[in-house]
Amino acid sequence: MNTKNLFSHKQMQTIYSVIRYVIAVLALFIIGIPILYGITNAFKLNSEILLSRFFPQSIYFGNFLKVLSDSRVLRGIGNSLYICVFSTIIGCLFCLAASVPIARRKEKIFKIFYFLFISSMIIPPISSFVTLYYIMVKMRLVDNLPAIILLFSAQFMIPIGVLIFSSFMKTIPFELEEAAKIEGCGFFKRILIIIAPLIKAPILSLTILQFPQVWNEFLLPLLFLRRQENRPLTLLIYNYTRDHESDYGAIFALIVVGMTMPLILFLLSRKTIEESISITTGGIKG
Amino acid sequence: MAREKKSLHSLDRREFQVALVSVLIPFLIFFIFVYLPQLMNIFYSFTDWDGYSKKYNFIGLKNYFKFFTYTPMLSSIGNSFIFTICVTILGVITQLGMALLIHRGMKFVGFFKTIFYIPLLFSWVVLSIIWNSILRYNGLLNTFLHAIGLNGLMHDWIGETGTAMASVIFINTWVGFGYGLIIFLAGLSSIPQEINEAAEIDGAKGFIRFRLITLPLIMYSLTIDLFLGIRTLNTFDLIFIMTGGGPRGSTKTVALAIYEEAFRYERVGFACASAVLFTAIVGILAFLQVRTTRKLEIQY
Repeated sequence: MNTKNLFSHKQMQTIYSVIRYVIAVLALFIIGIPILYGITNAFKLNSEILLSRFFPQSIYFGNFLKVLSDSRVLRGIGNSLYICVFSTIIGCLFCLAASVPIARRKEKIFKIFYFLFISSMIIPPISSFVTLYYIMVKMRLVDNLPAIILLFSAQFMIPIGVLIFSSFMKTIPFELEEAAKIEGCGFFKRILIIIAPLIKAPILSLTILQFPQVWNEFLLPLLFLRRQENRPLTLLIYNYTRDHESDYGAIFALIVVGMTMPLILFLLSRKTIEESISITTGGIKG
Repeated sequence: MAREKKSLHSLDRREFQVALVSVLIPFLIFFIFVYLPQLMNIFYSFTDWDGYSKKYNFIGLKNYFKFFTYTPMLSSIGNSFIFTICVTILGVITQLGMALLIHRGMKFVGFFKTIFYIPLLFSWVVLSIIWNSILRYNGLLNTFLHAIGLNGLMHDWIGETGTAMASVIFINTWVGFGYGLIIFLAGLSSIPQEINEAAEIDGAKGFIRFRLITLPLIMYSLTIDLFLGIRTLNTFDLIFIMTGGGPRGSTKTVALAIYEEAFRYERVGFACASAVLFTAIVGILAFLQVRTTRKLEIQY
């Protein structure tokens, strides 16, 4: 009755290996098919989308022409890019300014700052947004793009960025700076000369991890970007599905447009993403 | 010599000041957008403010008591916990299972990981529309079930109370799969080869080997994965866009309930009290979880 009698060790291994591949490929289909279905729908006519068949009967580009000639969509892409680029840049500057002292100074107050920055990651976003909405209304900052960019960098860049940057900073030998300090090199000059050239890696990690988060964020623009001309692409897609409920083709074309940016960034940076995940998860341990 | 020391000391003091300013600038921005709302939550949680009137009354702890007695809020707490527990357990099983399956001697691991990560790249708006087109009554899933003759299994997946919660749990697990997989694969690859070899020689096999050797050594990955699992208590986008909390409140999460209390029913005071308690619950759970699983971690 022992399986050993039925199959040799080698046969067992082959069977195991086949089962492995079958399960992995099955998972591949489960993960991949919904995404592919969204993409194929963008190439169908409205009437064909209603049939809910996976493969398109013929490839139709009209949806994309319609969507990409819509000035609101182009504006939405522009807004998304604008918000993402600037909140990433400002976020990186903030993180750098906060992390260098946190990693280098031994005074207790910097540990407190570090704790405050990091522990905010536990706060549910909705808890911040209720009263923040009324603060923003009172300060007339709703629909004020620069303020929203600061908000994005505070929400998405700072906590995780301080974590990445300060854990990275600890890997730069302190002696180098100590020497420069004794030579009379000031604080900001030291950042500029010694740390800035080395900091490319964590900047890259932070950007790759959080740029798509900002691009994809929904609740924050829903609350704070009310005017049509300020809406980023994600919110625009959401509103489009409500205003043109039956224009399925255009909706799916918009979806594909919305997927393009994060996908390109991901394919360019696959390796770094894994490293970034391990850096950030390593930081949570502390 | 003494003078030099003194000047170095004053230099250091000056540097301390510069460093302090350097942290304070980002911290100020951060404080305004993250901690100030928390403080205001606490303040307004003791009032009956509606969000637009100039006047409001202090009503003590009434809002806090209401959080624990108001049935819709209680049912949304229940929903959130069911959602999070299911997503976390399903997540650990599928992610860890797949990681164990592919971490050794498998080709194309990189390719698999890449594809598995892809859903994480997209906005919930995008994913919700796609899943809606699959799960609605005349969507892809039912068309498929009909084609293979399983008409009995056809449901209005997100429109029926019985299946809506299961659907959003599935979708969330589907999205989170790639991330957890990477965490577990990293954990598995960090197990020293000697330990695996020693286990091999001692004849440890199958589940016993997993339970006694592999699991304790990847406890750290589990800590991270469960920590991220607790964060799904915050789920808002998926529910808001996909089901709007329905049908009949069966998928309404705490985050959505707070949003509606504040912006739809104009009970801002109550929303604030709920937000304070919700933050406390999530914080305590995260703290307890990290402490418990970290105790089970082994240093080697």
